[in-house]
This record gives sequence, C-alpha cells and structure tokens, in this order.
Amino acid sequence: MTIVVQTIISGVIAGTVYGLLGLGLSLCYKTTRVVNFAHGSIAMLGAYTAYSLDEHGASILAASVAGILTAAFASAAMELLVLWPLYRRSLISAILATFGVAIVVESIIQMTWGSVAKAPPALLSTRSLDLGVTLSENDLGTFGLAVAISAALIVGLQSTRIGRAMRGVAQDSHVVELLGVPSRRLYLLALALVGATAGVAGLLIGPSIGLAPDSGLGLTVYGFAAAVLGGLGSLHGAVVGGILIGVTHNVAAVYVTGTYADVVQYAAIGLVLLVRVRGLFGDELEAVRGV
Amino acid sequence: MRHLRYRRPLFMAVLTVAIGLSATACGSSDGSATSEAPIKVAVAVPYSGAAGAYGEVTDQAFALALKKYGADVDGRPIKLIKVDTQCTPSVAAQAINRALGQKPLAVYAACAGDTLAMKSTLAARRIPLVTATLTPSVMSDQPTYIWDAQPSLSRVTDALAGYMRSKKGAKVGVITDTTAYGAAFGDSMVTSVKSATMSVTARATYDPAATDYSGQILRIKRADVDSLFVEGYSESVAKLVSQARSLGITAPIYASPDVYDNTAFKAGGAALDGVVFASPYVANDNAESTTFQSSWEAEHHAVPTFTEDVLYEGVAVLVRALHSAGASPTASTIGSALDGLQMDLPSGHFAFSPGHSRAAAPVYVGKVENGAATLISTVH
Repeated sequence: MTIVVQTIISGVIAGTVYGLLGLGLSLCYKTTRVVNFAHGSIAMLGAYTAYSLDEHGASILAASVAGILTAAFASAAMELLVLWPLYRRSLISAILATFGVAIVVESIIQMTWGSVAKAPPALLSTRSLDLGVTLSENDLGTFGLAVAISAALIVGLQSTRIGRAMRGVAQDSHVVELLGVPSRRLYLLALALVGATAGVAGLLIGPSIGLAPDSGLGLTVYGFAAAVLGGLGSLHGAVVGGILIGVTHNVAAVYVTGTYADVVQYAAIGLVLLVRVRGLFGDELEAVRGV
Repeated sequence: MRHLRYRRPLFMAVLTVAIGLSATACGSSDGSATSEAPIKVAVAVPYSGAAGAYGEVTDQAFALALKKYGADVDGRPIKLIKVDTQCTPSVAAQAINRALGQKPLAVYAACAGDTLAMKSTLAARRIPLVTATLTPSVMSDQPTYIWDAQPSLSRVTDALAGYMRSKKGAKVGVITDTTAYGAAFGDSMVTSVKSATMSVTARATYDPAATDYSGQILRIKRADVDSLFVEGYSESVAKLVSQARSLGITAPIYASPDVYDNTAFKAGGAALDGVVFASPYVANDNAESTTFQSSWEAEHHAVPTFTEDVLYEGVAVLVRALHSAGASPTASTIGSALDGLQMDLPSGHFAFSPGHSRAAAPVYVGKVENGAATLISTVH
C-alpha cells in the first residue's frame, strides 16, 4: 500500500515540474500562437546564471532572482529580435525560428560555462519529512510554487486589464490595436512572463538533473507533452497534464514495465488525444489543428 | 574566337598549377613529408551535445600527454586536427571525411558509436584509430585498424559482481539509462550477476533527459532486492543514488565507474558515501598514478577521476606510439608501434593484445567516501 501511495505522490511531484514547463509553453501559445521550442533552453540559461552567482558567493535568493530575470530578458529579446519580424509571415516561420534560438542559447551556454555538467544546489532541503511517505521540503516547495504561479497567471490573464488585452491581441491584434491597445508591448510583456516561468522551472529542475548545455530541448519535450495533453493554451490544463504524465509514467514503471515506461506514457497521451484532439482542457480546436 | 585566344594561356596556366599541386599532394599521400612538416593526428571527439564534456577533457589530456612525452617528433610538431562528432555516428562519419582531407596519420576517437561509424572509412585508407572505450561491440570482430586502450566492459562488471557476491548479495536490481552504452552496460551486468550465481530480480531503464527517477526506484523497492546497481552519466548516477536513498532503499548500492567523478561527488554529496564501483582506474599509490594525479591537478585545478583517466590513457598511448614510430612516421609504422607498445600508465602496465584490445589490465574496486574514492581491491 505504501508503495502505491508513494508511486502516486512521487508522480505528482515530478509531474508538477513538467506542468510548470508546460505552463510557460501554453502561456506563449495563448498570447502569441507560437509554440516556443526555445523554452527549455531558456530555462537552462536561467539556471546556469543562478548557479554562477551562487558559486561566486551570492545568496540563493539573489542568485535565483537573477536567474529568473535573465530568462525573462532572454525570452523578451527573442520576441524583439526574432519573433516580432516574423509575426506577419506564416506562423511556421516563427515556430521554426524558436528552434534556431534554442540552438543559439545552447551554444552560448557551452561557450560560457563549458560542456562539463554542473551540479547546482537544491533551493530547499532535500531531507525527507516524516509524513508516512517520502516527501522533502524541496518537493513540497516545487509543488507549492508551481500551483501558486499557475494560479497567479490564470487569475492575472482572466481578471486584469493587461491579461484581457494579452488574450485579445492573441485573438486579433489588428482589432485590439484599433481600440488603442499597444500590441507590441503586450507581446513583449507576454514573452518576458513566459521567460520568467522558464526561469523558475530551470531553478527547480536544475538541482534534479544537473546542468548541461543540451538539456533544454529534452525539457521542452516534457513541457510540450504536458501542454498538449492539458490542451495547448490552457494554463491549468498544462499543470494537470504534467501531473497526469508524471503519475502515468510512475505507475507504468512500477507496475507495468521497467524498461518501456516512456512508451506506455506517450501511448497513453496519444490515446487521450485520439479521443479528444484539443486535449483535456483545450477550447480552441481550430487553433490546435493550425499547429 | 577572341575569347578563346585569350582563354587558352590562362587555361594552360591553371592546368599547370593544378598538376603541380596534385603532384605535391600525391607525393605526401602516406603522410611522410619534409623534415619540418607536422605529424597530423585527427581528434574525432564530441565537442558539443550530451557528451560534449569528452571533447573538453580530451583537449586537456592531449595537453598533458604532449607535455609529458613531447610535442614534436625529431623536430616535427604533432598537429591535432579537431573535428566535432557530437558522439553521434552519422555526424562522426561526415566529420572524419573532413579530417581525412588534411591527411592525418592516425585518428583518436572517444565514443564507441563514432568509432564504429568511422571503422570502414579508416580501414579502406589503412589509418590507425586509437580509442579508449569499454563498449564490447567496438572490438568484437577484432578490427585491423582499431586499437582500444581500455579493458572490455565484462571485466568491469565481473569484478563488481564478484564483490557483490562476496557481500552476500543474491537478488540484484539493475537500473541503466536508455543510451546504447547504458544498454550494453546493463546486459553485461546481468550476465556477470548470473555468472556469480546471483539473480536479477528487477530491471529498469530511464531516459537521460528525465527529471525524476522515482518510478524506476520504486519498482526496484517493490522487488525487495538486496543489492542495487545503477548506471548513467555522472550527474544522473548521483541523483539516482540520492533519490534511491530518500525513497527508502537501504540495500547496498553499486554503480558504474561514472560515479567516480567530481560532478557526481558534488551532485550526490553525502548520499554517495558507501557506494561501491568497479573501474579501469582508481587513484592508487603506483608512481604513474601519483604523477598523473599531481600533474593534472596542477594544470587543471581539479582532481582527475574516471573520465579524465580513461581519456588520458588513450591519448597517452597514441602520443607514445607516434614517438616510437621512427623519425618519419607513416600510418603503417604507427600501427606497428601500437602493436609493440609497452608502457606504464596510471592504471598499471600497458600493452595491446594481438586482437588490439588492452592486454591483462587490472580492474579496481573502489568506494565513494566523503567526496572522494578509496581503493578497496584490485582484480587482476
């Protein structure tokens, strides 16, 4: 019984991290219609920055804030220099360009920090708490942070003027501009927010997997799977999708197959999408088909 | 007509230059050249990608080996032609063709897949390739132009399984990553465990890009094993061990040699204490090992571990062979020099077997303690 409970809890914790990555991808899609394949690489850039500052004696809080700001800045710079000139062309051009950005970011990381993997410290204690199942402060912190960020973004996009304007720009930027909303700034702000979520994800994931220049695209794949399962563009869907992926993977690994758990996990995602092509919480069928 | 009249002398001049250049190139096709011409060696290793660290360490290893054994042979400098293989066979096959354009006399490779991808190209040109890999498939058909400076994987897994058995192990869990090397390591470990009259009661694999290993670990826990073996990149092994401990695995943990690594020590911290591993090298008190440790630390400000030693030993073997291949080495004389090579390395005395694998190499069993490795025993 303990192993069953532990399998599910560990899956939820792991899935929360995938969900956090998916959240950024969904936010980017919701506001710009671009599937951002540079998301994981930007997350790694933030984590590397925080690692460097920590190594040079900065406090963990200051290093973390700097890491998140770096990721936000990198994402905003991508919007300014790469995506904005491409918005008027086909969407595919912008999506492919994000692949290019991912490669550039990886190269910058490799040139700056080298190829040898780094091992950043965890943000919180990894010692198990006495709760009947194995759970650490770091696990609870990861879960809490992911839920808090998701909630803040969902509420922010639904209830604030800026949030509503962002969604409006994504629907039809020309109409929104006629109403006096500066779409240029909103795109920039949206991508900065996307980068900040990537930065947070990088800080949480870095201590789990170590930092390597090429880790980014792998993280994007996990985040993309979470976002698509939850429904691309749905913020709460991305978090739920990530958690479902984590739990499915763990149940498959423990009770079905130790060597093909990934296959079972992706087969399950495929099955869900066959039945519900827009994902669990997606509400924009045409947009999903467009991608 | 007018155009032709003006073009003919130009055409003849170009033809003359081209013939002259090709004659020069043909004259040095075996790589032996004028007395000051550099001796070219292609270094086909990953400088980017998941294994990009190997390229960085290989460069450091060449710097140290050239300093120790000499950076020129009878006044001819040894020139390295570096190409990035990304540890991806398709990329390696293209990279070696680029390098061959510069007519190297020998090739150094780090990844097993790269070596296999370059094998037929180099055999066709009779160029020797030196590598340092534990992967058995590289030497399985005893290739004529490949020399492997490391013992086979089965020697490492046999040594570790023997140690497990001596500690009353009977039911073993095996976790490896999904790379080709991980699969080969897992298969070899399973064979060694069975040979040592134990059984593998649970086996699991993980994606190297994964952020969590709890599913694989809980599967092992459910099987109630009395020994756990884990394999993977250094940081993955460290994180696997940490997570296994935090999820309540109390059985002794054994690991691939990748755990003997500074990144692993830092990532795993105290959780790695007590982890036992078998490796072609563990720092010991022989003179070469002591010198290697101090020289590497002085040059690179870090204690060398498994990866540094394995790559350094392959490089040192090649550099020594270049020096032993005569005043005007050719691909053929370098091959002969490799066949007859006898030298001392940090891991012990070195020579190649007739099949071009490392002959009679010792394997070391070590234990991680306080962010360092201590030698438990040597298996000859």
